Amino acid sequence: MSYSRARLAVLAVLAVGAVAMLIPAQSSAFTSWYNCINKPSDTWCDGRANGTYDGQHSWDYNSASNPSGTPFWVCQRVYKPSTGNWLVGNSCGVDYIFHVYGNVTCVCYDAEVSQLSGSGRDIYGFADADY
Amino acid sequence: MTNSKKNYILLVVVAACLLLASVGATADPDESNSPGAGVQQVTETEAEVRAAMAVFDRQRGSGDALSEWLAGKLDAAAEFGMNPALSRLSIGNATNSLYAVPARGHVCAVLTVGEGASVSCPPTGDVAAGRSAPSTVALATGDVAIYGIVPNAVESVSVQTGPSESTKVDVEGNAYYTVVSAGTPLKTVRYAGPSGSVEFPIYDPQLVRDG
Repeated sequence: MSYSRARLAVLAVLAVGAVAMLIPAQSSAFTSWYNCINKPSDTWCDGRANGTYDGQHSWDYNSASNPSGTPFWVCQRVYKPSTGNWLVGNSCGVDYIFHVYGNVTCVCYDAEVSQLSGSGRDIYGFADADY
Repeated sequence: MTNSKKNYILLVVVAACLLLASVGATADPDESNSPGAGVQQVTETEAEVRAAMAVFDRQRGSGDALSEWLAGKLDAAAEFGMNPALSRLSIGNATNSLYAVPARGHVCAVLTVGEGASVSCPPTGDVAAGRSAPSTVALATGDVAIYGIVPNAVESVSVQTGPSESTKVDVEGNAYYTVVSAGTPLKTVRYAGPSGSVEFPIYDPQLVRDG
């Protein structure tokens, strides 16, 4: 084998390794940690603006949490943008609330959180499509 | 293009793939920020919880168990170390039932909604001191359920739904639960506990504005 062919073989092995590493990272995308940074009060956030967004899925779990030490209300919902409807179970509580939805099959929902502190705050959301 | 150039481009592509892969593999930097994650599940109800909530003094019966499906879900995640095998039914209802579930340093209020549930887990210290806040959840009818857990000394809570409209809600099994009709303005929940009188604002989750 020539030197360049050997080098190509090594590169091919490295490429396969990289793909192998990528596959498990993507398959764990059934969960979504989406941060909403400095979001206005009383507004739903899916992380698309000022945060992270992992796309639509059949979320059957969603939680909202307050990362600050100052208590305030947080809310969560699982929302279907194409219809403007949401799954039954929108909920609100102080600092941390989560909802276990039933069997969700449509891969068409956004997981959203909001905060009701009265001013801009960070809120963390976590959604799971296979809770 | 020469072979060395081709190899160089390949090397750059592979390096980029490896970088992406490592970022993907170590993604979710916020996982550690989940307040209930990674807490060891309790195997028995903590003494502080038993002291604050008499509902846990009661022998656990079959009626105290969550549905097998829901218990399995909550058990697998065990947020705040909650253990659904130690649950107590506080308020049974035809459509929604409210359970108290002990966790580690927290007590969880689990209100069934359909086959799922709305869950909040205030710190045990807040519950014991009579400072635990209510939670709200929208039901299939559009009505809103208001629920929470309280210590032994609290016998009722007052739900304010307008400037002068107030409803007394009795506490059962260290918990309270009431449903208000869709569109009812929500104001506060008040009760008197070991720390004196407390008042919490309450919100309709259906009225949060679209972003």
